[in-house]
Amino acid sequence: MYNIQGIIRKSLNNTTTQFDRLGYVANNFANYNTNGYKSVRFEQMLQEDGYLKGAVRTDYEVGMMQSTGNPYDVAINGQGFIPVTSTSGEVAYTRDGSFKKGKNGYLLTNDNWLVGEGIKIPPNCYKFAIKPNGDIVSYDSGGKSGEILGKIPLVQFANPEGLTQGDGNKMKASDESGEAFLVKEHNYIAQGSIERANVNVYDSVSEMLRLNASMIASMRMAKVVDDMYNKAINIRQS
Amino acid sequence: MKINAGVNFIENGLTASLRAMHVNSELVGMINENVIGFDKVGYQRKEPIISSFTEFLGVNGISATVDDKVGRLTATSSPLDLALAGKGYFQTATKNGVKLTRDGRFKIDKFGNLLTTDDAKVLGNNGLAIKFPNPPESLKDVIVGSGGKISLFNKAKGKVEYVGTLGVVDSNGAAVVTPDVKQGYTEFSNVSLEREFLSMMPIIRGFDANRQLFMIQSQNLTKAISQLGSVS
Repeated sequence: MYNIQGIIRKSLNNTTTQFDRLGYVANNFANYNTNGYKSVRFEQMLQEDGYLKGAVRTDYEVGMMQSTGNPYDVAINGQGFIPVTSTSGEVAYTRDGSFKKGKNGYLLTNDNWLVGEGIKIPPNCYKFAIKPNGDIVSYDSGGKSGEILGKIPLVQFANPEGLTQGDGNKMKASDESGEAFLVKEHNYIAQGSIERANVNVYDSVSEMLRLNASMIASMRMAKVVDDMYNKAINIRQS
Repeated sequence: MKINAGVNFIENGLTASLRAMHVNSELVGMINENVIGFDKVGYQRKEPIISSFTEFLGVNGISATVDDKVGRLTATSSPLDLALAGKGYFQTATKNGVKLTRDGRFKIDKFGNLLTTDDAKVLGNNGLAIKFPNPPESLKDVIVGSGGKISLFNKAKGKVEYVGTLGVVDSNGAAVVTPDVKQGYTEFSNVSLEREFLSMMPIIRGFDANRQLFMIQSQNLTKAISQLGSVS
């Protein structure tokens, strides 16, 4: 059973949901140049009562690899995250591998979080290489390989979609994602590369067109129904 | 009804007009639902049916049938987006019992259960929820055949392992033998906006006409009351 107020309410519910959706599309566009960014999808579910429910999902497809030639740049060419530790000991997970060397020799993220639990590159290290399994090996000026300085850890989650988005391009573990587990055997680490965002511009534009159509249609419906409402109220006037 | 002097008198004319207006607003409500469902995944158009004697029955005389034509299929980036290119429904186990849906945007939780976006378990053709032995590392390892067979590529062993088969049924609950499941697609509704808005125009006009008739009858009644009895 419908009543006129209910119809208007459903139209408005749809219109505001489309605005929300536009926000998420805009978020994807804004992060088009964020390294390792994973695009989000706003999924709408039409319930039986005619009202909408939304869910935000993250698409963990690996983005395009961009070669930078910078030895401190690390990309993950596969699933997983690099755990990073803040100065206060907080742990988060990132796919943004644009690292740098801190003033005391530790490998740091852009915003000064330690990579792993801290990997120190000694000042006398002439050159280093990061192996596909994450091992950092130092070389001396003669090109002889020296010792292993450390290993960039790679962790995975049972359900990466359950991770929550933190600040500064980092993800945080949650109840839904499960605990992080270390991947021992892999060859995903690519030195000298950066993973670009996996935002698909064409998909985003197409989604924007669809949400715009839905929003305009619902607003128009609200106007038409409001007209009927008005006429029903003013039925005594001619 | 004919009264003494040969004057035609329509009994309950005012009520009939109001009833018709109510029916029209109800129809607009159904169209509104279709307009909202336009860009929703798996939504099927509701076609209003106006039965005989609706002029007496009012809103009780209208019902809806579901238009089960296949909607617009769109390629997506997620391998767990499934669409049915033929008729039929996926079965999901919700809190309120088994529900049928054409929305095939699925996900896998940390235990390996195949879930809808609404967190309902997706049922297989054996009536049990589909569960992956362990959550796949990458969704790309999930393979869904057109018959609804779900398998998982095990990288360590280098072979494809069977997980389960989607239970696709028709609206009567009978199994669909060849469901034609498409992996990496979602199905948008089968609503076309222009059709909805065009079909709304005669309804709005009907509403307006009935309103006018109501007002004419109301005026006649006013005149009858105020003038027929006056002596001046």
